[in-house]
Amino acid sequence: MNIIFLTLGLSIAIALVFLSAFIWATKKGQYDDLTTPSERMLLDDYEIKEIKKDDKEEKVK
Amino acid sequence: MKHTTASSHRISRDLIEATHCLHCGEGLTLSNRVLSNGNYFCCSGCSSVFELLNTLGLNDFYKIKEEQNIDKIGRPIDPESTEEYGYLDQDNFINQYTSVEYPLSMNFYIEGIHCGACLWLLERIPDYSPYIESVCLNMSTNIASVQFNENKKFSSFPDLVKRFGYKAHPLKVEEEGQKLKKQENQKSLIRISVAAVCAGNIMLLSAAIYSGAEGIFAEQFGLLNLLLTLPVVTYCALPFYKSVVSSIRAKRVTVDIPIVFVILVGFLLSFYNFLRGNDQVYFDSVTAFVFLLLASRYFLKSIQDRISNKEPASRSLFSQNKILIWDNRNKQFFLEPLDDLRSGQRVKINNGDRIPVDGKLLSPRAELNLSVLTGENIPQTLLKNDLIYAGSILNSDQATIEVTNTGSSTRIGKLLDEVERNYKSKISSSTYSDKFATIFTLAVGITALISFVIISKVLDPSAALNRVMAFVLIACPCAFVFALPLTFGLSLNKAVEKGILVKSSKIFEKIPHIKNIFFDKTGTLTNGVYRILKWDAQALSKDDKASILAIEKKSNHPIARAIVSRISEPNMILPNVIDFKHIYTKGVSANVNGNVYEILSDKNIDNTNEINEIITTKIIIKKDGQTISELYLGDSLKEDAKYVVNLLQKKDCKVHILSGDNENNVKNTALKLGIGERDIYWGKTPEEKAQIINDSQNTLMVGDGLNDTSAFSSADVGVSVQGSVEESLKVSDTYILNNSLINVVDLLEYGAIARDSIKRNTRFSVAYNVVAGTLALFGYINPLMAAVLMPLSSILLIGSSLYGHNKLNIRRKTP
Repeated sequence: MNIIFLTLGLSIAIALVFLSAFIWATKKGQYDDLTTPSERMLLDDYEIKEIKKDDKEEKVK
Repeated sequence: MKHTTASSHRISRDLIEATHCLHCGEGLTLSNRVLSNGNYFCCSGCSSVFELLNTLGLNDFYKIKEEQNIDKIGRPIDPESTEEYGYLDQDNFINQYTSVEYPLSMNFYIEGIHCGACLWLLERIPDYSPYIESVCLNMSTNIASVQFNENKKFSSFPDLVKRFGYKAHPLKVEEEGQKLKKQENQKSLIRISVAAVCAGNIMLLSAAIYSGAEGIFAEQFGLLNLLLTLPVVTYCALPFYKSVVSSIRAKRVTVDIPIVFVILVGFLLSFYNFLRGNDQVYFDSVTAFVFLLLASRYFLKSIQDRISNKEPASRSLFSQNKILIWDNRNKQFFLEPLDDLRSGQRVKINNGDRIPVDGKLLSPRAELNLSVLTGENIPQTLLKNDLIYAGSILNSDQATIEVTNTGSSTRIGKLLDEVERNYKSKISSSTYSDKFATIFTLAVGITALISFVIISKVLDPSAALNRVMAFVLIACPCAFVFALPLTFGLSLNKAVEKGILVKSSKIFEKIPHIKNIFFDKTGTLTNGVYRILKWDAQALSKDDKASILAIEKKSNHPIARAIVSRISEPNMILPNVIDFKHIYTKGVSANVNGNVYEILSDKNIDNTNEINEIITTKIIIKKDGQTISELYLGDSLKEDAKYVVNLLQKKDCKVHILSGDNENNVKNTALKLGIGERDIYWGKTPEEKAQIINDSQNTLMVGDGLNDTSAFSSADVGVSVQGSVEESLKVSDTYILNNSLINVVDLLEYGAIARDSIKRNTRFSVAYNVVAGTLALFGYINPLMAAVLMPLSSILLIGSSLYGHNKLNIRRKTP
């Protein structure tokens, strides 16, 4: 049963890998905003109707 | 049955009756309808946004609204605002708003975001704007991060956004507050994750040990447990240690003291036992405890942050950030950043602007709205060399001021600093839960010492040590300590759903103790707007009406606004106004189509006694010297004012009125609301109001925004019911969104329910701890039992808090 020390070591190592991944993701700011991505996910299907580019630029300016 | 706006419109076309505004979903009545190209809207703002979206090909906005079942969005904010954003493109401003690493990126706080459709609209802007590369909106802070291209036309974003019906406030770069908040949030999450990983693995290893692992396995697992505990009791628990150190220095008791006590005792004694080769080791309980505590505190904090995020990150009270400064060399006024202003310089203020400095008036006259400092909404006239204070709004055309004080050294700046200080002391004072937790800890500590001595005598010191340690771990009010943030988090959340924003849970704890409630009169108990109560406007000719409308549109006075809103009709052609004059303290006059119109106020009035109405002013309209019309203006009590006062009195609270208005009006109001004459105060300045509140106990002040700043900070709980969110939350502890007084009653009830929940938790805690503690002292508790009992008690307490949360869904009959 001494294999358990190997498996134990491995499992702790894997846990540490995941922990560092989480810490990296947090520091990158992925958890700063938890509400907007859920809204954004629902919006992918809509495209702006095609209108002549120059018309739009006129209105926007 | 749900009506989406589009379907209500399809039906409506058949019935020739539209029921909802096509853009914002607001209900339409016969009087507020606007017809444009065959579609019905509630106002011209909505119709122009609709047209704009059509032109740009963005009608999917309405499809998204329908898909997400959003019935109502807010009205467009200030669509006719003349606010200019051109200054953002000037070099001297750019540095303030963009950072060195991202010179083409600017952050804006967006007012008016309500749903996913808005998110879509804003984030689609780069698709067609020739100046904007990307837009990323954060819906919890309402801050949009916008990337521009080399053209550097930063003003394009706020200009465009304005036309969609939102308002974008540019945010300065060195908003340290926002950056620090983000870092703190990230650190908290990392601490929780470390605690979770360590506690979880320790539990796995401990399960092995409890199941009978022996010999070298038990040793190694035990060592691993110890190693995994170290980061938790040092890094993860650090915030608690810091908090205890500062509370000891301030000689205050807080609920963190028992927490630190448990962690240290648990860890140190377990460590000692580990070295002795003993199995009385409690690493799993200690680390799980730290994890649960961090998690529940994070939950509470995220709710409190969501509330305080409703204000933009700007430090200054005024959203203004630029000012016209006189340059002596070029003999001209130049637009400069507000921060560059020094005292002694001369500045020009435009009509409608809020004055951001203290200074001396250089113009011969100016009409100012001093409500921020005096509480009076009626404009005052100031003459040359009079002192002007920051916060006043300019009602007359233009004024030049010589600056004496800027920023936080202005009178209102100092006032806000004092509010900040008072607030900090309000939330750091000890509350019921702090005191309970600490007394309990003292009791446990003393019992532990005594028991150690006794058991050492009866048995032996090491058995005594183990039993005492088990006792401390079990009997400390740990579960109570983290059920507390949970209770408050849930209560605060519930309050937010109802539109009550409470800044901190400490304020919430004070609410059940309130005995005296002070109401401001104007704007709080009354609607605060000049309303026309009696006017035979129909008797006027169409030309006269148009002329009066054209004249009054030029003034910012509340009376002018009331007149405009009464006789304004859509598609009215307004004649030219020549020779417009402000006749100070009297009214206005002008020349229209050859006739001289004078619209003057007359102070000789008698008060009629109709319910809810208080007449304050009489206006006489003269044409070429002849009186052609008279009208009466006044204020009216809010509809639910009497009902609310009644409910509050039934709750055993004394209701008072604190007002700056004259004796007659205040007595009248009190009479109509059923408040005794002993409890009302009239003619009080803001300082006097604060003093009256100071002299009373257990006070709650209800007022509107900036007018009652000192009073709010003197009261135990300050509640503002009107005005903008960001300004109000700066000066008071609580803000009620819908301007409805009944929420004050709701607030009191939520506070009581939260307190009941805490009391229930307290009783359970005491009972459980006494029983379990006794068991521990008699040697029945070992690490395994502790590891099981603790989660059990935690679950029970969490359940109890949630049960209390359900009670918050109270229904009340409307008056």
